Amino acid sequence: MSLSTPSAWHLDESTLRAYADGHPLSVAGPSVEAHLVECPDCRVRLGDVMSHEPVDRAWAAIRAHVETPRRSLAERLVGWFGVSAESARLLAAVPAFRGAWLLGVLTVSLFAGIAALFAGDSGLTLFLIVAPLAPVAGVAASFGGDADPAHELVTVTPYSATRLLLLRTGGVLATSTPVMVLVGLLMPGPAWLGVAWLTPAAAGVVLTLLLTPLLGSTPTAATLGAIWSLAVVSANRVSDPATVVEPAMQLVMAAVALTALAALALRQSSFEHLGRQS
Amino acid sequence: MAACDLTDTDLLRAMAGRDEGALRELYERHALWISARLARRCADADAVSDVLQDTFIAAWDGAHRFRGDGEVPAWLWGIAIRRLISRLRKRADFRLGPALQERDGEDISAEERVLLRLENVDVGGALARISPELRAVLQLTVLDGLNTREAAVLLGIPRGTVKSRLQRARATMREELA
Repeated sequence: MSLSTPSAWHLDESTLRAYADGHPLSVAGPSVEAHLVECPDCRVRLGDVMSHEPVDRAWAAIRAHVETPRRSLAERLVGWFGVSAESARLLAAVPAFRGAWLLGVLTVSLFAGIAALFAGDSGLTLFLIVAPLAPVAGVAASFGGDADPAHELVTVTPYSATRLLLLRTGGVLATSTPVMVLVGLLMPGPAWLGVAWLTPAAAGVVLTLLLTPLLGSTPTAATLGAIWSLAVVSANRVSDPATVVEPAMQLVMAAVALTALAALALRQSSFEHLGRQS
Repeated sequence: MAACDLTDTDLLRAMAGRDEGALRELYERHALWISARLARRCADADAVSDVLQDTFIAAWDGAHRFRGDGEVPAWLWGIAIRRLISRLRKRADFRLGPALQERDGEDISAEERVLLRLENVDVGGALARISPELRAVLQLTVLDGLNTREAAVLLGIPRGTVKSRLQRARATMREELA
């Protein structure tokens, strides 16, 4: 076939022009197209008689697609819950959403759970110390600055810091709480022990949010952690570690959490500076 | 530039390795003729631009799936024409381009006569004598490599009509060229 030998046969310029300009070419059109697929020379010559402008404009969109990083699994996951793409990016940058953090929570709680299984009261002590402090540490790390890979992003984002705070705290609690509840329920002893730590955890999280703007995240978390550990260890010395989560203590913890929450609401404006001066 | 020495297949291989320069070079080589060929099937310039973008984005995302046993231009066109069809499924106000319009028989231009005389067999004469409806069906199935279902979507006619027109077109061409 003469048409399939590119070097021997080429389209003449008037035909190429008629083709590019959209003339019907009801008979020659198919021939032109069959030849163009085979012949690089005629493709270049067709380009010479065409306007490049629309094609150049289309390139911008292609480049934008190529250069946009793919959204991470966590970002797509929270996207399904109706969180906007921008919020999803900030949320996905929460350290608590990273694999390393989840792995850490899982490992620590597993060890605490195993310890509780084999070591009786001292194992239970360990679990009761660790369980409420895991979300506290997660929240502190999320607003710490030094431990937060998105710190610069958070600092410069024109975004309500309060909303960001709640969003990220929600992210932390959503990842660490289920793990700890699961481990707690697998523990020996009464089932309520598995969830009894939730009240002190709530108090700890709200206190962390309240005190971080004043003391900084790491000192806040360290202080709360020390106080709580001391309380659990003392309870273990005196009688039973579970006394720190008995009903009377639950009420005290709930009161602390609510008071701190009220103070938090009153001092809402202070979050607008959160992490921005460090 | 070294990229000029590379074949299209080399460029696709580089694109599979996330080389943006290779995509740019492939676009330089093929975007214009694909754009022109799309414009002959679709009269909406915005739609042509969108389909062109989709085509090269699909080529970028799917570069690793090119098996290297076919021609790259044909592969790219295969993506483009199918993107055009999937866009048609979403839009009712689609206008067919000049190559697919069902016009009454019209005069063949002087350029076309020159072109057609170069062929030994009088294919041009045979094509000129069949109706535009049959020609459009022949073009989409034989030349664009679409199946009858895809051609039916593009022309906005039932699949059965495409099949019967294709049969008639083949029979007519066979008679004309016999």
